[in-house]
Amino acid sequence: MGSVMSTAYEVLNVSTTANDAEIKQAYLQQVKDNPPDRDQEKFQLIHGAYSAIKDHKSRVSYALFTPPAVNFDTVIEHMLQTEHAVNFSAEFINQLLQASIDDTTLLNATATSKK
Amino acid sequence: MKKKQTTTPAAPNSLELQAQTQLNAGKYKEAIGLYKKLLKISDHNEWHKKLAYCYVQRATALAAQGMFKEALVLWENHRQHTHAPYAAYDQYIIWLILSKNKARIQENIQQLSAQQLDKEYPALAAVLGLLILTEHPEFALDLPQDSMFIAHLQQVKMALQAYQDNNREKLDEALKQLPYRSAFKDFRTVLNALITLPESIDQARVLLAKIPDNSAYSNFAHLLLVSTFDGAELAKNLVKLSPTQRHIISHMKGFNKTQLEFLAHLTRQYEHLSDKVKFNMAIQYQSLCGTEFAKNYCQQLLVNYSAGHKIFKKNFGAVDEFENNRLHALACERQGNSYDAEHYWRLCIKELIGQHLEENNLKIALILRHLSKREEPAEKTELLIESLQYDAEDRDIYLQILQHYQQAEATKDYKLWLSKALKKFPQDIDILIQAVREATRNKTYKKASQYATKILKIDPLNTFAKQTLFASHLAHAYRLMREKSYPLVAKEIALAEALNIGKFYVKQTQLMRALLCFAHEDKEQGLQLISDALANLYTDPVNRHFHASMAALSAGLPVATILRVLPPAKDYLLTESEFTQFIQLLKQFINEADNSQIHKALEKVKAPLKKALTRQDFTESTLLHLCKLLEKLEHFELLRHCAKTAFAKWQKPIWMYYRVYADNNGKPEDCTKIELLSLEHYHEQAMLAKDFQTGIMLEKLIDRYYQVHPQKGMNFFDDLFGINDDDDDNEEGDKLDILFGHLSDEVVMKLDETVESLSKKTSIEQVAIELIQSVGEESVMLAIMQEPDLFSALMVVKAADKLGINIDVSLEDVLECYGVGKNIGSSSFPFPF
Repeated sequence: MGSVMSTAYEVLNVSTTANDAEIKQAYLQQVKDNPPDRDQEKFQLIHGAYSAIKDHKSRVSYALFTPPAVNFDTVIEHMLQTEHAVNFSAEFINQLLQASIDDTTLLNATATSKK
Repeated sequence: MKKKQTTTPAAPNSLELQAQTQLNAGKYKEAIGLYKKLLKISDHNEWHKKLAYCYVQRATALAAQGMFKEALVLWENHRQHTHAPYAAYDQYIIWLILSKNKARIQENIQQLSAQQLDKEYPALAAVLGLLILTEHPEFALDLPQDSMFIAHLQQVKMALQAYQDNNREKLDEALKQLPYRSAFKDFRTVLNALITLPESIDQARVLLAKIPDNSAYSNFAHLLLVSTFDGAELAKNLVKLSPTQRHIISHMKGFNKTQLEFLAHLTRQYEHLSDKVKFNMAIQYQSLCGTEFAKNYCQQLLVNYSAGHKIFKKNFGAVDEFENNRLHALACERQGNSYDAEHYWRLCIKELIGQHLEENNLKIALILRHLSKREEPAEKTELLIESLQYDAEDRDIYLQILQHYQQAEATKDYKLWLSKALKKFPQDIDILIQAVREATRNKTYKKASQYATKILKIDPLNTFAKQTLFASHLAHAYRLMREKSYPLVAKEIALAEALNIGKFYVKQTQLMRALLCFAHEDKEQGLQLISDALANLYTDPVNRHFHASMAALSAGLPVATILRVLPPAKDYLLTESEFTQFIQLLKQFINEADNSQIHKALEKVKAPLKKALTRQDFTESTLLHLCKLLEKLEHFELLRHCAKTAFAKWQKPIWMYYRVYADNNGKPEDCTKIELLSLEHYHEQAMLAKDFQTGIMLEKLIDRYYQVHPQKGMNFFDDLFGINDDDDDNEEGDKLDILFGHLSDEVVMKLDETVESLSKKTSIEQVAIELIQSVGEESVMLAIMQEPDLFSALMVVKAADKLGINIDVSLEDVLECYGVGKNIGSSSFPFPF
């Protein structure tokens, strides 16, 4: 499974229906938050995203020639999305600790000890 | 049936050697047997030690295979041959725990001293700590109560209680009490990570990564780490866990029933995730990701999983044909299959046209432009022109079309598209600049000035427009001077000065004023002023002579009179920067003046120019620049000189182009057969090197040759023996006839085919170089150049050599016949190529 790619819209944090002005505003904000002297690579990503969708023609072009960013990783991400935070209660931690014990771990723990 | 062997007891020395060998080889089972035999012979202390060692090694190996009971027996055997402290005692206790022998576990744990627990067996202590906290709290009762271990255990229990009570202060306090050297040190790190998690997942992950792989808590740390992941990373790790571990983490994550089903499904299929499986899972669990998302994903998968069409239709309705073709096209492009990609893009266009929607026009235009990117110039331009039918508002496309026609020197098409572009974008500076350049090329200065004035209205600081207007004022001033309208000349000079575009231009107006003084006011003063102005403009006499000649010719003034007051230029050797300045000046005059005038002016400076070309080591780009201008000017003498110099240094297609073009005074139809072969060879090289521009230039020369010399049979031998030649008295033909006249028609036909194919692969230069290397005769190249048929004759001998046909003509015969290499001895030499 490959890594999840961000679309130009995701990079600039705008909706796919955003207009020229909204996109420009989002771009300027992103540049302000990520100036080129801090992270050149991130800045290039932001600038590339803006160039790709800055006006109507570029957005149509982007929609036509950008391969779909949806891969199976993205599918899994959607499938396993939850609204809850992970529950690290003592009960679960205790269960996890119990479940962590197996013969191999116990053997390995002393196998490298001094004889 | 085995034959009973009669054995004699082996001598102790031999047995000991065998035992040691087995021990060294790690064959402990065999070594144990041999040492036992030895001990029966003699109760040797060393053999006891070695036997004990072998028992422990064998026990460890069996335990690693899960054979704990067997391991225990062997370890206990070892104890009979040695004394405390026993090797691998901590492991022995672990094996006891794993074999679940409660009585023996208790017995051995009770024997552990505080010293052993706290100092000697830290790994065993860590394992016991973990077991006390989980499955075996009773172990704590059997351990020495005065040990540090028990004290630390109390702190850990307090910490866990504090965690359960969500009492951060108490938890921190308890963890602080645990020293670094504790059986619970890894557990403390994990607890610290747990505390950090709500604030920083990254920091918690760093802490968890600190737990070593051989720690009793490594599994626990890994499970906690997995619980911090999301999406694909989480799935990738979850599928590798045990069902219990997966179940706990899934519940910690709060997955619902469908998500748990999806996860179970994914775990079963994870190692075999085909497009079909992914497709079906996306449909089956679409309630989790949304129907639109699942539909888009499945449509994307249809590119490689066409069998899914029916299921897709059943679940989401008909497939969007445009989207389907688009995805296919993109998939083909990813695979580098541009042929099929174009097919699918064309289907996309068809679909879009069929929908009759205004908004589709831009998409069609963009697809056509996308397709144009991988085409060669002519096809690319056709697609760009087609795209304008759907989106006529893209000025960049007009500029690209103009650039293509300009490079291809398609003047008619260029003019047509320039006019279209000007009509469409009358205020576009880039297009107006193109218009200025075109007007300047055509020497329609008034038009150029009009466009330049328009540019300056839009961009008052535009330097190019100012330069154009400046040149226009000066050109007008020269014309007025020829007509002796001197007051108007002064007015034009003043207008040029008013543009105020830099020192170099001021110097040019100074020269203009000096010429005016010479023509209208005072000849002597004028000559002095001209000399001063030129000295201000150039450091070298060559540029001064050239500019002075051009100025005098343009103004209708006596050239010789003006040149007399300048320092002599004939013997001057130009530097690279002065030479570059000359090229710039020449370019300026080609744009502004008549070619005949430039030719006359060049006559005055051609000697120092040739000298510079011969003696100075100018860069290739400098010479290329000059050749382009000389070609435009059709000054073949200088072009010949320049191309010859360049070709000697760089044997590239472009230099062969200029050589043949100049050698034939711009009439490639007059070139020799050898030159034609060279053109064809270098054309092939240019195309292979993807130097299409030079390729097209060479192709034009070749086409022009064949327009005048239709290929007819194009047989090598037909040309060779003048079958298609009206001139029967050709002396060269006689030589070929002498050499090859005796060959039968059948042999001639065979040789003819081979020579044709060899000629395409071998250049004259190659043949000459190989011959020079082989016979040491430098005059070969010259001879070929002088007598083109010598090359043909050599190719025939080579063809015969390749075919293995004995034609009774050797390389020496050919060279002798053409009077080359007379100093070569009679001994034969191998054909060099």
